[in-house]
Amino acid sequence: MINTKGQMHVLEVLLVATLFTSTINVAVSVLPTSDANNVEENDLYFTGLEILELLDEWVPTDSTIAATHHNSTLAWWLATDNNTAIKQYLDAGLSSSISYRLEGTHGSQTEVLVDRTVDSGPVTQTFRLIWADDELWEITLQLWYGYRED
Amino acid sequence: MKDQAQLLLVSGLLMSITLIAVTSTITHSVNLGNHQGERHDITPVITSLENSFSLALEYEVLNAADGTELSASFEIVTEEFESILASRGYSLLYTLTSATENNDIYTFVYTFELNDNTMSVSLDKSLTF
Repeated sequence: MINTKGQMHVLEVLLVATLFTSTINVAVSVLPTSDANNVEENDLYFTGLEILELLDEWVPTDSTIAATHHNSTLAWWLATDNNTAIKQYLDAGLSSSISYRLEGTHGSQTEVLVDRTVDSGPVTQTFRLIWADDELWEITLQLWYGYRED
Repeated sequence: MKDQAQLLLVSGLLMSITLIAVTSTITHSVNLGNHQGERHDITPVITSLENSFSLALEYEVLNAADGTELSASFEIVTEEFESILASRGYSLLYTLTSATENNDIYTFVYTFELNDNTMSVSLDKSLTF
C-alpha cells in the first residue's frame, strides 16, 4: 500500500514537471525567431550590393577616363556629378517593381544622388564604399518593393 | 481505482512527452525554413574594400604631414573603414604586419578580417605604390 502511494507520488511529480516543460516549449515555439530573416529583404539587399558593385567595376571605355577614375564608372560619375547617368543605370538595372533612393556621403557632406520619397513599408538598405575625386564615398542605396516615381 | 489513477497519470505523461516532441520538431522545421534561401555572400563588400582601401591609404600616405609614421597613416585609414563597416553590421579588423618606404616606394603588408556574423574571411595583403 505504502509502495503504491510512493509510486503514485513519483508519477505525480513527473507529470507536473513534464507538463511544465511542455507548456514552456509550446510558448517558445509560437514566438517568432529573433534571427529569422525575410527572404525578400535578403534578396533586395544583395540586389543592391551587386548593382553598385557592377557599376563600380565597370571600366569606362575611354582609357584616359578609366585611368583618371581608377577603372570605375561609378567613381567617374560621382566625381563629375553625373547623377542623371547613375539614375538611368539604376532605373534600367533594377526590376520595375523595385523603387529606390540613393545617397552619397563624403567627408562630412551627404548628397542625395537620386531623390525619391522613401516608402513607409519595409525598406532595405545597402551600401558601397568607393574612392572618387580623392575622397572616400559611402554610397547608401535604399530599396523597397513598390511603385517607382519618375 | 488506484490502477485507473496510475493509468491516467502515465497517459498524461506520455501525452506531454509527445507534445514536447511534436512542438520541438515543428520549431526546428520553422527555423530551418526561415533561413532557407538566404544568401551569405560577402564578396561585394570585399571587392568594395579591395578597390577603395588601397586608394584611400595611398592618398593618406602621400598627403600626410612630414614625419608622420606609416603605421599612423595606416591606422587613420583603417579606423575610418572599420567604423563605417561596423555601422553597416559588419565586423572588420585590419592588422598591419609591416610598413616600409624605399626611394618613395611604399610597401604595406597587412591582414584584414571581415565578418558578417555568419561567415568570416581573413585575407593577407601586400600593397605597393
